[in-house]
Amino acid sequence: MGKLSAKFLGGGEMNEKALIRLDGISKSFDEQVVLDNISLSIRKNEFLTLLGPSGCGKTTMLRILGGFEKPDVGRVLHGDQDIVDIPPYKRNINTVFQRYALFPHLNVFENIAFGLNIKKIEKTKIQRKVKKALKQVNLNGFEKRSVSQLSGGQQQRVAIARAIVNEPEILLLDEPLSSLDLKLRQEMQYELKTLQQELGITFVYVTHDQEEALTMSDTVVVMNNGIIQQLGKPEAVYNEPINAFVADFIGESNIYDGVMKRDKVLELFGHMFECVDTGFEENEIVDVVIRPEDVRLSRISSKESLNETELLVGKVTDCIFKGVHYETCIDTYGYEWVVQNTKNFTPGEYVNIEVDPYDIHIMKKHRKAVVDES
Amino acid sequence: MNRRWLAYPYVVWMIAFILVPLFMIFYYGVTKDDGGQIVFTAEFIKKTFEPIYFNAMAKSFLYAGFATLICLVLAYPLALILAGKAGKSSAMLFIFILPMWMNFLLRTYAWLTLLETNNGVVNTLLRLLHLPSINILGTPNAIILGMVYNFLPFMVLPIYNTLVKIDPYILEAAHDLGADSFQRLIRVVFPLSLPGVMSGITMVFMPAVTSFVIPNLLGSGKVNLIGNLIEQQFLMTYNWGFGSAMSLILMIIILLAMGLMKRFDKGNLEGGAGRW
Repeated sequence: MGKLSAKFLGGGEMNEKALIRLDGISKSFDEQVVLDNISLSIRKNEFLTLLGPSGCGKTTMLRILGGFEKPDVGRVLHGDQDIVDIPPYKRNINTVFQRYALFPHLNVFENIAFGLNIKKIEKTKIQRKVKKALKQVNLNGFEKRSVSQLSGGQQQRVAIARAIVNEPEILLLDEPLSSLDLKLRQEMQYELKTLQQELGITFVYVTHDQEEALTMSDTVVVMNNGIIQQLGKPEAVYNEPINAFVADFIGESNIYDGVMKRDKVLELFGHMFECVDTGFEENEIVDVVIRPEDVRLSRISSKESLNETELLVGKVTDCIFKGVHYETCIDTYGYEWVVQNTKNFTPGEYVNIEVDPYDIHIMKKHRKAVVDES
Repeated sequence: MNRRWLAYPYVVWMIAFILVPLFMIFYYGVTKDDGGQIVFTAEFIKKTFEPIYFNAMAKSFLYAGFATLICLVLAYPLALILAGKAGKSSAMLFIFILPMWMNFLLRTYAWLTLLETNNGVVNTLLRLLHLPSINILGTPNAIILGMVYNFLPFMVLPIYNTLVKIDPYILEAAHDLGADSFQRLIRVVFPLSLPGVMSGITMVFMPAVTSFVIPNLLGSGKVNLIGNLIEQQFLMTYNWGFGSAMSLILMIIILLAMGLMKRFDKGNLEGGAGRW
């Protein structure tokens, strides 16, 4: 089984063997199903991100890995051993908590040395290891500082150092960057990725920020309502979302109901669009996903040409400058389009809307939980 | 600045009920009426340090210290249990602090009936079970028992308050880093609850060391603590000067003790933490 799932997940260049495997995990709190029959393999050295909106079950999954929650049903397999009943302090897994959770009564050195002291490691060795960990998170010379004197970003680094100094097999990170400002967050994303590659530790990262997930991960696991919606490399999840939820959650999307008239022909708002999808039933109702950056707009110059055009027509309701691009909102028959391009339109203008066939993503309704194998 | 007058009532209060009484105690303690003339004297202060009085003071500190220690040993596990029961704890906590709202004298009198040598509830029960009776009324044991019983809630509450305020993620972090429940208690929970322990000690020790009702009733008047001696000076021998002098010395010693403890507390947090 281990072999099979590793093959299934691809990723040939790294260690093929699954390090930890969740097998049929379900969990409810007060009758509310948080995780619904989840199975997932985590490979050695992998940077795996659990991505989803709040309440999707991603944090619960992380807590089950850490040993802070027990699943109602299912196994957590480490090799051949089910570790569900092993308490957190006996697992070779460490966690970076969302709000750092540093020990306020200890200074930076003592915080980082906490785990090593518990293991009764030699004093000089501890000193060496703490120094190295501080260097790895760019906090040289911070040993004697009190944790309350540190900024948010520095506290976060101490929390990371405190975890990695124990050389865990897996590092769990629970939205570790969510309380940092944008600039620092982006910096830390690169640092975390570099750190993961240097250390060769498996990272399991929880976030609701799709950009974070796409930037750092080897594998993105998109979750919603306690179910894995899609699993794959960042590019694959972004370019080939498997259903409307994933498309909407990963990046901005225009999502509409369309009708597949026949292979490669889609009816949307009464207009026929050419697309590349086949294999649907005739007149099947489908989810149509179009990325804002894939829509082309052209101005309609005069009232007359408004009636002559064969293309889909919309009325500009709003146009906002966003720095790199303009974000234009267009109304067509009561449906809103969000379009990103470099043209500036005036509200009230009429525009033609065009989309290339391969940029129209068509998805079966209510399709879910399929593992991508790119 | 124009709202300064809002503070005036408090200033008046402080002067009338804190500064003036303190000054009066000081005044009575260092003056005496020498044939119609008020003169300064160190007589009362010196007398306080005579063995009979100083021993009473030392005994008060000893008993109060002992009672405080027992309170701490009893209260800490209780506070831990209460703090661990999230949600259910408020009802349990309520039960523990409920006696605090009953009259202090009444509760102490109740112990008198409970502990009575012949017909007391405790000894009647013991007799029924054919066990030897206990006669602790009139002994230091009864006084310490009374102190522990009356002041225990004052130890439980501040410790409980600091325990429930500890971030649950910090507790999880300790587990995560390999500490089992006992190691976590020693290395994380206890150090973080020290402020509560300190204020608990203060809140139990202070009333215990100056108590005179408990030794009066449960000590059957046989054990004189400093509180009793001061009371006697004011209510029986009418030597206000000596009573004031003893109060003054007691206050100074308590202040010194508290100052020392605070110092020790700080030193422990900064320097001693490395030992953990």
